[in-house]
Amino acid sequence: MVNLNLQLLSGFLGNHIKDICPNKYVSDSDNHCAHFVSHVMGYTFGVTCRLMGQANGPGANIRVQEVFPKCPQVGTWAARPASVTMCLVFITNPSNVNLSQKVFQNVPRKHIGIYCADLIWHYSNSQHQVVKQTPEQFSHHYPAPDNAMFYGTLPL
Amino acid sequence: MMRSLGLRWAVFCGFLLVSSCARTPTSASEFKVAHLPPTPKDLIEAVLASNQISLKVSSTCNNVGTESTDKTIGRYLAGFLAEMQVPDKINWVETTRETGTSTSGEQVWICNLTLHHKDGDDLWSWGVRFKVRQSDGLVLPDSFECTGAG
Repeated sequence: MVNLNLQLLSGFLGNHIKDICPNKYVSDSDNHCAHFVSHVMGYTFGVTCRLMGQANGPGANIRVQEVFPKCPQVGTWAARPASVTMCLVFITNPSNVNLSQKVFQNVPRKHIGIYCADLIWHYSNSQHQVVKQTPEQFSHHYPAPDNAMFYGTLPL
Repeated sequence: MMRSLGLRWAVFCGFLLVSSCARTPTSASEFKVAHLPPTPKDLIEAVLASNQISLKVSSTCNNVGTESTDKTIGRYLAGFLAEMQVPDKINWVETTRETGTSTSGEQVWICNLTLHHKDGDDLWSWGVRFKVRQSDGLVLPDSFECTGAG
């Protein structure tokens, strides 16, 4: 498991996905939010950039709806336990998420980042680079009602 | 103008796909593309004709539908086509093909149809990849994969 910390994440700040992915799955037309998170965290399950790109290196999952159910514990952002200081963070319309069944629909407006040191690190598909934001800033990623936030403890 | 045409195409295809889903999903019947090599129009027609292929065709199609009840390639694509209806957003359809081989070693074209949407951070590209046999233009139903990320 990756030793997640501020120094690790800071190393990705400002990177384009081509600086991160060895499998050349790097088109700016694709959404790389889950792709970035999975490369950082080493999530190799499900559909990966290695499978869908050119197999040159370790694969990383590329789909939010496949990462979410791998989180041992999920909940609304407001209900995040104080003890959870590092986790994944998701944003979408609340109707797209079933917490009890741990299901995340594959809707267009959904996004994922990594929460660490009171900041959220995520891949901005409009800026084509890794950025960091406060949770409050991240909550404006989509306009309401598509901006409900959820946490997920880190998949093992 | 291009955006308007793209929107009209999306609405038209959405109508075709959604209306065809009234039937119970069955195994796809044989379909051959109109030209060798297939044109972009031929590839789009091939996908429309393959709309009843089950999402179980490939692990890449697990949970790709915009609704958990989506069972077919047609229903999956219809979900994203339905998201392309807002006229002031950027939407487009992309088709590509390249040469390759099938799992049985036949010469094929590896074809992609991708639906693109771009509106700031609301950016996505979802679609399908499939193979067309070069010798006779047969669309290989078992070759379908679902592409896209996010």
